[in-house]
Amino acid sequence: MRTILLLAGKDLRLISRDKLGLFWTLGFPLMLALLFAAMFSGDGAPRAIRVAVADEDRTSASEALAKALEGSDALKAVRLPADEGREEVRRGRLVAVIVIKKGFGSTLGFFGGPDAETPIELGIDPGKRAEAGFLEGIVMEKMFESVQARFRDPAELRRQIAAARGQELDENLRRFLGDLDRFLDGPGGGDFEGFRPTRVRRVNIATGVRPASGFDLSLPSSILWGLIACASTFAITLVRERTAGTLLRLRISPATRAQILAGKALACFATCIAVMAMLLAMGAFAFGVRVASVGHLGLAVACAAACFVGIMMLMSVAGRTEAAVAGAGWAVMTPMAMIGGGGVPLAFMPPWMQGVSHFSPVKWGILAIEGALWRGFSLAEMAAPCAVLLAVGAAAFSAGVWIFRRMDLR
Amino acid sequence: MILIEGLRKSYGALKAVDGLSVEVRPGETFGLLGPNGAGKTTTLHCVVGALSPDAGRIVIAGETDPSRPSVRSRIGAAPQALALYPELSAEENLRFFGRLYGLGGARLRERVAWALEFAGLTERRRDRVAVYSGGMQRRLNLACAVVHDPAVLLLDEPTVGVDPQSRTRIFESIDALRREGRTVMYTTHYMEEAQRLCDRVAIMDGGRILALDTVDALITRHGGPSVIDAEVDGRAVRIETSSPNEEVAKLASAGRLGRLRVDRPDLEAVFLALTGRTLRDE
Repeated sequence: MRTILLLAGKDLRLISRDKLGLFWTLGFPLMLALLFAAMFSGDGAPRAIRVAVADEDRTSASEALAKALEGSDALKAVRLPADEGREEVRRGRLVAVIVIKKGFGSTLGFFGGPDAETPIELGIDPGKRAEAGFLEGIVMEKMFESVQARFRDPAELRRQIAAARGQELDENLRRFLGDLDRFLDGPGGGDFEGFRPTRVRRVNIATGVRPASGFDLSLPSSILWGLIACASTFAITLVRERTAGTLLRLRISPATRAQILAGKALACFATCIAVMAMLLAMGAFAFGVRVASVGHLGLAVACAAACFVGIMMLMSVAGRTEAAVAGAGWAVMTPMAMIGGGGVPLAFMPPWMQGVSHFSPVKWGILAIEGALWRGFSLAEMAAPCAVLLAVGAAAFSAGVWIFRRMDLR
Repeated sequence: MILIEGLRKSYGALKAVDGLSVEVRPGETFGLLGPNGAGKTTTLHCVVGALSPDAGRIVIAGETDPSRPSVRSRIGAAPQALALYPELSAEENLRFFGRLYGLGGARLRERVAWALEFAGLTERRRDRVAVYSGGMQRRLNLACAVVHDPAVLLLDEPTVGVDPQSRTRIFESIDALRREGRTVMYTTHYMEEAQRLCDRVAIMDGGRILALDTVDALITRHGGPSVIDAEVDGRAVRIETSSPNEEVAKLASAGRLGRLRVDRPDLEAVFLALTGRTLRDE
């Protein structure tokens, strides 16, 4: 054990003196955490969509809709004439223009009325098709809110009934409107507060501490990037030992091959733990990240570190030079991180990619850390991601050692 | 001290070492002289257990498995590459390698101080190795091989790429190690080094030993005659002889010696005679 500690201590000392290596190991993940936190701030909700609203109808109904759109949290709306709005969209400065066409107000009669064609036009940037459906939903929501407001106002309701009864109507509807009008005129009509549609209440399903900020969501991804950087750094140090000749010097010393590799693995493990501890501490003290279970977090951190020690070992035999190992390492790790949710969160991925993500240890690392931070995983629920991490680590380490041994004896 | 019998090692179709047998005696400085690619480094790596030979037997201090820690702790090796950590200082490198060989406490401090003095780096001991000159790094490379006070030294081209001053210093260091009675196995493709430092020399080419003996014996047997180029009583004389001292004495008594030049054969001539090529051709 003394030899392993000596070798690990040497590696930690070397890492601490390599300023560029330190940046990639500690600074880079920190920057990623801040970047992703900024991207996913607001409890993970998408950022407000920039739109123009053009009111060509200029009625109280169109004004109410325009104001409702301006007041929406999901939108950042500016009032512009329709043509100007379309030009802004064409230039890519706005995502869409919502034009409330002339005649819109008259289409809001509940019981028939003049059929204006397309009372609302949604002009969208063709490159933002993902937002189109979302925007349509918001516009419809605001329209129904306007209609709902009218239903809730008995005086407005009576005006609409009177207007409708002057038109040609189905006999059953005419009878219903007559009954409704009589009800509003009767003794109970004064207390009528309008129709109340069913309300929807949103709740978070996680049973632990729910994510309080974007940092809660971005921190696990950033931690995984930190682990990737650690694994890459140590893989390169191992191949550097080979190219510089120090590995030969170690190999001809009384230290066994197993001790040499164990020393490297221990140093990598300790650095992984240090990186995770630093990021978690920063998250807790600077950004208010809370931990649902410290014990589970310790388990997740240890399993993730062990996994990436194994990956480091496998990466280190991906080539015979530092450039080859660095290139091959990042070429494999970057897609692995991307499909595992290290860049775009898994929830935003198409279903087929979510299926593929099962093959990425990054996904399981993120899941384990999220489970301990805010998903409120039980120990049994932690077992699956932790077991996958340990299995991947063990398989990668074994394969790496096997290849290393073959390279070493050549 | 070191016995190598029938050593073979191939890399695919290339036979790097082809049936090499040699015995290095205790306290002897033994040279493996040959061009690049002759198989010297492969031989050394097999001796120290860094490579597995395809065939053959290696015995070091009575032990047949050179990869055993007990054997390795008695061996010091300076690889051809500068096997140092450039981000660490000379003192830190020496301390690390000393500890790796089991040194500690006062003994470690004493040996590190000795090795720094041996390499002439006491003044610069706290500087990062990265800022050292090539010669200083080469001296430290040698010092790291001897910091644990080994009985057997394996030095692989220890003067490659150094300035003449550092080379002289390294020669003096190796001479000092010889005087202490250590067994040294030394590979080089510089015949001057083999001639100056080695008690016996094995001339290698193509993975085989072509000749093995003391430097003088090799030259006598394979180097050809010495050439005397002189002027006696104004007359130019050129003589090829195996006894140059006697011939010079005869010329001196035959008349007035004007110009005299004696070219004795060296290991370069021996290599040329054995292979038809010069060492410098490689």
